[in-house]
Amino acid sequence: MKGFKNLTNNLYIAVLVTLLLISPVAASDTKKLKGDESDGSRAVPVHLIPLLDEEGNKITPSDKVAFPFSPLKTCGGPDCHNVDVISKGWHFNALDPDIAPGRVGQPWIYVDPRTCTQIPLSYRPWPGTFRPRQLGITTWQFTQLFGRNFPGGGPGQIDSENPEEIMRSFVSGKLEVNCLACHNAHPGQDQAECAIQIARQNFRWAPTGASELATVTGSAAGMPETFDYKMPETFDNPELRPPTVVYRENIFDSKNQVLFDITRNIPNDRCYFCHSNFDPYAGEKWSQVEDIHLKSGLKCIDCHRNGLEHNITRGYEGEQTDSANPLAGTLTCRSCHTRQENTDAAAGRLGAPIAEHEGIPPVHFEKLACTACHCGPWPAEKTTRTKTSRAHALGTLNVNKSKDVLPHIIYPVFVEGEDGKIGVAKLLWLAYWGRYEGDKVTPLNLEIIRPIASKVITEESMPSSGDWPDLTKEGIKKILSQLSDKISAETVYVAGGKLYRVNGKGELTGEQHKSGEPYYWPIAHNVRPAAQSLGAKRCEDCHSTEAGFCFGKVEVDTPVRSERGKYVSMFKFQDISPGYMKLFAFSFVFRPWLKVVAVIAAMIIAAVLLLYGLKALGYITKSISEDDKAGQS
Amino acid sequence: MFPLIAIIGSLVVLAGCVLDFILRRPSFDDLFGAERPMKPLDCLRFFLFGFTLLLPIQKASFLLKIRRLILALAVICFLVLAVTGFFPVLILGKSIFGYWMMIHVIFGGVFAFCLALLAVLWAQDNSLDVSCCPLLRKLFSEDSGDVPSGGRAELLQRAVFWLLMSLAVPLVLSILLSMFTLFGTDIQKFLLACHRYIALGFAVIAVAFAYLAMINNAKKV
Repeated sequence: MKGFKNLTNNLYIAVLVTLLLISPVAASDTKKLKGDESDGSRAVPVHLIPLLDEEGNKITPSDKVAFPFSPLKTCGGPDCHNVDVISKGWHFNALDPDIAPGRVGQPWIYVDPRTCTQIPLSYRPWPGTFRPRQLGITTWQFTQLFGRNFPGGGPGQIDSENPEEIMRSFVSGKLEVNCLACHNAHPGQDQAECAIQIARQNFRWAPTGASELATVTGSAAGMPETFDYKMPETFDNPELRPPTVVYRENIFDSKNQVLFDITRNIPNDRCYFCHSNFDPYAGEKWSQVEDIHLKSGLKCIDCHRNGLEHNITRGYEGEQTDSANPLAGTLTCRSCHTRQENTDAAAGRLGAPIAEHEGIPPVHFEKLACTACHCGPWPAEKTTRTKTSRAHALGTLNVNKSKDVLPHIIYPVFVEGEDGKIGVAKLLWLAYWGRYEGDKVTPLNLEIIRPIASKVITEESMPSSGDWPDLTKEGIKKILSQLSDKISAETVYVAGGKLYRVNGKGELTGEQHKSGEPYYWPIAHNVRPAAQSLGAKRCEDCHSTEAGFCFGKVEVDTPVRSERGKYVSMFKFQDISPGYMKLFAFSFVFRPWLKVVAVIAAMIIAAVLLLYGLKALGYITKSISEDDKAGQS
Repeated sequence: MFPLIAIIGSLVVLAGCVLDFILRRPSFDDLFGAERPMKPLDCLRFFLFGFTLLLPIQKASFLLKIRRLILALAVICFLVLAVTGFFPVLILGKSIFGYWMMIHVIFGGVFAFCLALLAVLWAQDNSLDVSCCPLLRKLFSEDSGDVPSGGRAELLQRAVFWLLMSLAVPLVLSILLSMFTLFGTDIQKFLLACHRYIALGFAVIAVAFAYLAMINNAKKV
């Protein structure tokens, strides 16, 4: 008994000691520093601060070698901002397995026309996306591929999982969370320059090069793995120019501090660099219209808000189950534009007009997301292709401006979402080479495919438009047969919803397969005004046998030449019976008749009621009159 | 809430009809005009008799035949509407949807048309006769005397007819108005709820009307 008591006492002590050890760590993790908590003043604090390099040393104009500044060290400063907390925000936490992925979103799209690959990637476990490592893409490579469109952090800030890249990542440095990418209000903040620096593997230098404070020249890509940026050396080869920083004159004050134009009201243009959409088939940019919210004077951050944790609200319904942001789920279309029980205070926020939806039967709100009628372009007979910043590197130098450049993102597609409601989405058809095992296809490492594919899909066959090269079925067969020599399992090619494989007779077959199902993600911009929404003109905007909403044709994108130009019907993505939808749409031809019949019927019945009611009234008055006469006589 | 009210309402009306039938204790002669004691199966016979009221009489005038045909059509529509309208709500626990809704809308139009014709064709026959009701007779100083046999039941049937017609107007209007771009979501929901509850009231009163019609017409046939 005594031994048991001792044991429990020891256990208590152990628990207490553990808690004491953990508590400072936990406290520092969530601690708000002096710049993290507002005192309520709406004035913008002036950021006249020293520049710190990645080791926390102050950068001065008298330094013999100018090092790039580190945003984390500079903004973290001496008790300024808790960058550890900020670094776990939505823009940086994709690799964290403890973060709920939330509603599916736009993936990173890996495109390689030379291998006829188009595949959605994400570190978040969104169904339908692939993890970059499945294709053999390391975090370091991922950063180089897509770092142009994320504000640092995430994969840019962790060590590569490939030991062979460790030395290279020492040379390039890490792509730190770059606070300036969003918070710098200075017009000189140039994310296109950031993209150039990343392409040169100048990860460490990218925030400095993108800012208005300095110019960065040279490239880490050409540097040997022994290169140390702190000890610059000269190379005999004039083409080998190490990354070099030159700070602009007069940016340092007498205390060697630098003035940053920092804002918490992030301008839309900062968001646009990574979150622009462009419809190349809808005319030039000047002829297209913007989101009605923005035209009404709202900013991106009016709906997409965050606190210190940088858990930015995404704005979809039910977000509160995925996000700890206290405003999650309250910054949705419904919360601002409709009066709901217990949330009346939010309705009409920021001047949002309350939606009346005159004449729209309430069942629409059970079956449709708000976006279905209010977002994206008006559905036409056929879908179109669109471009996005992240997929097409919009806004970067020497971007291919062709309409047909890959990846091919198809929209507007009306699909049933995770919440069972039909909304508008963008869609990507998958194209990749894979290993076929147990009716499941896993993508092959790109390093295996490239040398084999290059023998069939030559550099000369690449169209300058950036479109697919002409991949023939014969070509697929050749590549598959060569792949089978290297891969123990059966190899297949997935494109345009089909699975291509070589059967026992040596023939290439292509059949519809679930592994080829397209990936789609809901969109919520651009929002059209109420008068331009579906159903605003008439029911037949959607309920007609020719309406794009149900019967539009969705392009099937594929590199396979013989399969191009094909379409599938929109209703295939809506989990509805096409027969029913046709019949239902057809019934709207007779709807005016039904109204006429119902109006006439109601009028006749009312007339009969009135007639006999008047008769009864006449009888009563007559009886009273007769009674009166009888009484008098 | 609606399912509960619907179930209770239906049960109350059915129980009322059964109770009335038990209290009335009609003899076989009362119902079918032949002298013999009632047997349990005669209830079924009475029920089947109700359907014969919908069939056109061979030697009747053209207008009477039309009247019966319209009544038959209205009853068929009523049954279809009741099934398509209440089944998804009461059994499936969903709002009316899909093919249920399409059938409901199609038959709804026909039913509204039939109701209008019934109102015209049956209004005179169902006009409230003061002689049937002692209270009205007293009120209008009519000659006091015995109330005609079955007069109360017939008066009740006529009153129910007018009640049905009175409900038919808001029943049609509640759904008709929602088809126009007049009202927003809140009023749309209100109109839908109105349509639902009025339809429920209409349905249970129609059952009562059918029962009274069978009772009153049994011996006349």
